[in-house]
Amino acid sequence: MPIGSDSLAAAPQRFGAEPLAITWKQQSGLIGLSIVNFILRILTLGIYHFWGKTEVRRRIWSAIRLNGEPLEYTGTGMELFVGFLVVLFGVFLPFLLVGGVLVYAYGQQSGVVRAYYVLAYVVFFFLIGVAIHRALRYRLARTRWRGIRGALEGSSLRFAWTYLWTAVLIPFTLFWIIPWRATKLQGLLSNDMRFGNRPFRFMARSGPLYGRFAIAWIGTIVLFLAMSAGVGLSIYLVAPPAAVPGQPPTVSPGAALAIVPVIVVFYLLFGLIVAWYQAGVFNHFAAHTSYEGATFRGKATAWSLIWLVISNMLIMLVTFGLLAPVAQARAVRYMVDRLGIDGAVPVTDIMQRAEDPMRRGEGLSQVFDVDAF
Amino acid sequence: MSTPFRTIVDTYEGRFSDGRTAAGLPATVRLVSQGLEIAPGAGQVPFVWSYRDLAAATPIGRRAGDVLLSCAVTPGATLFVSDQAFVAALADKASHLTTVSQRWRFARPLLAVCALFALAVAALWVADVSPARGLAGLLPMELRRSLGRQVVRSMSQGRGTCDTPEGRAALGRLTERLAVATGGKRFDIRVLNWSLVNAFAAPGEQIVLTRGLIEQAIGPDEVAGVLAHEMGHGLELHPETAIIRVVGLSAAVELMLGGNGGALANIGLVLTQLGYSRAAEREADAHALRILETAHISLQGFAGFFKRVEDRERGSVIGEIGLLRTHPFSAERARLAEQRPAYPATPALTDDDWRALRGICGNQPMHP
Ligand SMILES: [Zn+2]
Repeated sequence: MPIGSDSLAAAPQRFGAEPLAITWKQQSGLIGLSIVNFILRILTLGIYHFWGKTEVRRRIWSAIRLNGEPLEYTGTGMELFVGFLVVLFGVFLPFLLVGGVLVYAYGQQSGVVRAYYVLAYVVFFFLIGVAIHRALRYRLARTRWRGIRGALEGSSLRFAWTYLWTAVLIPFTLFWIIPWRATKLQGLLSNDMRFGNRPFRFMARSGPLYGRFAIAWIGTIVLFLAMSAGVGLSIYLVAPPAAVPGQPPTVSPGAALAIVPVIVVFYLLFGLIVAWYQAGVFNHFAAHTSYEGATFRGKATAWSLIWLVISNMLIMLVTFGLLAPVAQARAVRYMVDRLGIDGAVPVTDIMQRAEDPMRRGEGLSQVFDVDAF
Repeated sequence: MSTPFRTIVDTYEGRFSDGRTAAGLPATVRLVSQGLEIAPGAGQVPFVWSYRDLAAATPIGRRAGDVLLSCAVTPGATLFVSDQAFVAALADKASHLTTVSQRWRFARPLLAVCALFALAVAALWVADVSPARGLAGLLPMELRRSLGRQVVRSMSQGRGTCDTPEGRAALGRLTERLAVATGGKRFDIRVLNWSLVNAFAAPGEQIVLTRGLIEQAIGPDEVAGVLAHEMGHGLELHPETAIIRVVGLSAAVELMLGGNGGALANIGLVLTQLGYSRAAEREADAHALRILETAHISLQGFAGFFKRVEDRERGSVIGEIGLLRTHPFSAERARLAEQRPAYPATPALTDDDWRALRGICGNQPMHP
């Protein structure tokens, strides 16, 4: 090939820098896959769950396109299954067994058993942190684009420790630690993320989130007061309690029914507040995440987010969880649709990385079910 | 020549990545007889990925618009072709990539594993091998005692313990006599003021008899027979095994659902409802026969009592937690006792002691 013409034709990509665009390409057959998975899971007494989950992930990953080329999920059902077994028999069942024996030996109400319960809650909370980290690590290690693997470096114990102590502080700070905590935890994850040999960068500070959080926090309190007033008012309007001196006022069934719409409205409004805050968090985190020359841009909105959550909830409820893969795909699609990428990355400089030695798949998250998909 | 037309149809455009960097190259792909012929970049020497070694990122259906391929021989390298005609042609050449065959390949070993598992469970069941039993043997004595106390306590809820001093002394002498063949194990026996005819072994060498059982017994040999049988259960750690079996399940459910231990507290009740397996009953009977023979107590009472209770309870409401429910297979037991050679025997208790034992509930108000 004549060198001169090549350098002219490929002028914008001369040093291997390629602008990136992320898109979603809907995969057909997800509903059929859900049904087949369901049947196979029954036939295999539930064991197929892990293979079914792997099949779903392969479809979802494949729907995510960078410059038109799909992500590839290379995990296997066996890895998930073995990971699950190891955690079940190595961590969970021994814990239960010791608990059962203690209850028998000392009685349900004894101090030893109470102490054990407290210990169990603390340990389990810590393990949830470990599970989140290990699940992300496994998924990134099993994700490829153009054959190049992702990775999560860093210690899951360090992440879990931060996860635990910041969670303990949530009630003591009247929830005000939440934005700082979310930023801290996301930073621990994002800064340890790799694609090939290059790191992601996460430079967000929690400060800008506090305006939104304060509004959400005050809004929730106002909403709660309004709901209390609304419940009282609706009872009074529908059936004013007979004021018999010395008798506690009784609530008629009609009044109890009148409370229902008030509570439904409360939950919808509360959900909207949470969605509005979470959309802000998503956009803020995206805006401060970068990979090489590319920066991200979040486009989440409160309305679209709450519609996603409600519609996914309906899908799960109406089909009794049968169409969970569809809901999971919709959730991932939301993120893809609401994420923009600006700038170019030097693709020729991004080298393959050594394989992650993690041979067992995210057992903890399978047991605790903290993973969304 | 007609081949040029075919060649044009055969050639597809794709993107190839070598798996060393994240760069992608335009590539032309042809489906040749040995495999995929890939020429990355114009003017490059083409190479072939054999159909056999191909893997697809997702199983390919005929309607799929694109496919991401890799090859076992060159790990990391990928080929992406976005062309429905290519996918359809590939499905013909490499049928192992299709949805149906992939799914079947996943499901077949799983179904085999499940069948094996079912077989293994069945084999364990037939061979009467139980992990719960092994675990029971590992429990320290103090823990078994403590477990037993909990079980007895939950069984005796709302019921008094029969223990006139004379009755206790008589029961003590009977236990002492049977203890010659229990390998040094000291059994702790308690009589509950309960009209039901029943007897239970609890963990940690503890046995519960009911007032109904003592009233129903014609002579001390019958009580001795029941006691020897329950001692047999205790020696074989059957109560411990049953509890581990139930606790393993219910403790798991309890803790996972964050329960308050309600089901666990009723373990005593569970134990009274559970019958032992035929094999466990046989083991207990073997001990009972040995204990009675060593203690020179006649087997007539042992065999007769279970048989008599069975005859009495036959036709009564099933579901009552009587002796029959917890100790089935009486006929077999009677036959077993009759087959043993006769030996010199003396009554299990003197007349005075037997009278004292029958009066052991004298300290209790009589319930119907
Ligand atoms: Zn028995």
